[in-house]
Amino acid sequence: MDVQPNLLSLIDSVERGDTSCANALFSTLYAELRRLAARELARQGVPLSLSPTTLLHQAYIEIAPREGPSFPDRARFMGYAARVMRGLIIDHVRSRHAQKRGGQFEITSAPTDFEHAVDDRELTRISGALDELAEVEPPLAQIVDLRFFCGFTFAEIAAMKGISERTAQRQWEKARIYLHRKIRSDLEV
Amino acid sequence: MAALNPEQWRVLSPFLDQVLCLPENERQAWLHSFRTQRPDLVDTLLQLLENHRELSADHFLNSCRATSSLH
Repeated sequence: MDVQPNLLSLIDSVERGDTSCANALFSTLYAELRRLAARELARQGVPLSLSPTTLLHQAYIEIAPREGPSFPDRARFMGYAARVMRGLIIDHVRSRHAQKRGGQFEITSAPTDFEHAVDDRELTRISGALDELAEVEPPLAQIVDLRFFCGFTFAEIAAMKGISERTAQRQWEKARIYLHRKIRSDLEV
Repeated sequence: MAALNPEQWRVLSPFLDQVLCLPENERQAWLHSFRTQRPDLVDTLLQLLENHRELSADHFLNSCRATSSLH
């Protein structure tokens, strides 16, 4: 498998505060997640389906060993990958009406049944507000990426981030307050 | 509804943590005490708690996942 050799150095640079490497890091992860999804779906055959959670786990399992012992911990990888996954999902939703589904890989929801689909424009508004939240209080934005965009449970997120499940739930509630207020205020302008 | 600027959020965030940790029946007493300590912040914090009640009633982000839009 051709894993981008500079993934580790890119993550290290971003961790040290070199934000100029952030786009390169996300592009690299984005390409890797797309490639993993396409390969996994080809292996699975029809019907094509792959949950975001499965894709992230698969990506970590495949990438981590090849990056050597100094690869950042699973939580940081998942944080970056979850944000990249958000980009994948947004891109997919935006383009879904313009694309034929045959031959395209498709990310499906986690097994849980959901009551309502999110409106495309609402999804874009949520993502924009989430970018702002990531600047103001990054851990809250990461919780939303992992839960809303990737479908992880609070227990999974707590284990991933080394926090209690109660803390994960409280951070989720705070993030919802921020995003709800931000989206409503933008709509009123 | 006015959006909070980043600095306002950073100031309020630890207090929001404190009040969200409390059961509903203990929040009024905490808020009463908070009003005497930080009269400059209490009204905005009350607004955020009201926002929380509204979004909970709306099931904001809870009744769906982004990925359900992919079907």
